[in-house]
Amino acid sequence: MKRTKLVPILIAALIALTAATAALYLSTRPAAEEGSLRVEYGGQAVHLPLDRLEFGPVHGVLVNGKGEERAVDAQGVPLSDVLRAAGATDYAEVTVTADDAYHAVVTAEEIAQPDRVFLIREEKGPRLVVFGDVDSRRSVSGVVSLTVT
Amino acid sequence: MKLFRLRTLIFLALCCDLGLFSKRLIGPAANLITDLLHIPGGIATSLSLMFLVVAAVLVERPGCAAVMGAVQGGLALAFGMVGSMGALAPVGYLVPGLAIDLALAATRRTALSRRDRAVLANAIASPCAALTANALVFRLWGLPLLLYVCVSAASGAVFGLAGGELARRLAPVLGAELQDKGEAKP
Repeated sequence: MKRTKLVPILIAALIALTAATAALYLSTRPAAEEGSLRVEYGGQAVHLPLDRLEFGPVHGVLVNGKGEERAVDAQGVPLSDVLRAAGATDYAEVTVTADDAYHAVVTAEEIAQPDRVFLIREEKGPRLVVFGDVDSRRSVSGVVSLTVT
Repeated sequence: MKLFRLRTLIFLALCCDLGLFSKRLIGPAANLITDLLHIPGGIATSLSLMFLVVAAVLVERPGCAAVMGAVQGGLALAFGMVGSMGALAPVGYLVPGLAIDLALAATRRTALSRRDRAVLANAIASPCAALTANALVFRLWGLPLLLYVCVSAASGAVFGLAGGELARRLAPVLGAELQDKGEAKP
């Protein structure tokens, strides 16, 4: 093989591999319906319309990775209410997943604490906020699904 | 003995800054693609790393990219540009720098041209950066992780090609330095 052909072949191969992986991923990923949350519980998946949830005022302080505090003053709903609306009652933890596959896990104990775990309303979709964390790593924007285990 | 000439140091500092800030500049455009693919990123970092690769292939000193990555990590902390990595951001900058150094060292005595080495270095360093970010922040697994790494590698190769071309055009600027060391390559 000529040296000069190494780079075009490498780039073409990587783009082809990326396209194949993207096609496979996009065709198999569980997607939530527009304006709803996909909740997996007990081996079944339900789509919970966001307009069925009762959003109310949420106030608190989030701390980001730099230690900076940010006040949150938004419309939100406790995660416990979301799970109750989806029929999930007995669980140990919940994996909250965003549209870009980023996810965070919250435990049943955290969810049970009042004023701790919320989904707040944002333009791009609900955001998970966990008040009391030392950094905002579990602040998940664009939440599309909850996996209850 | 001087390790680096002043002109080279200025060039390295410029590449550090360009790498750091280009990430922010291309971010919104890159997000259009990554949002479409439903992955958390991978493209902007590849452009950012291109500047480290350009500097490393031109200067050809062992550890050059790793030092630049460490400087970028320090700058990111100082400017508060740590993103979701928080205090661990320097690790996210250092690991791809090390990968660039290793890739360039491994290909140094081969017949590969500077452009080919730049492409390989960027195509290797970008997935390393993606895997580091994944280990520190995203914790993806399965197909999303595979796609994230593939996008990083593919964009790394493409930006590596651009970096190789940029290095070819910049070589005359650092020509004297390279000729002094007898390391000028096509």
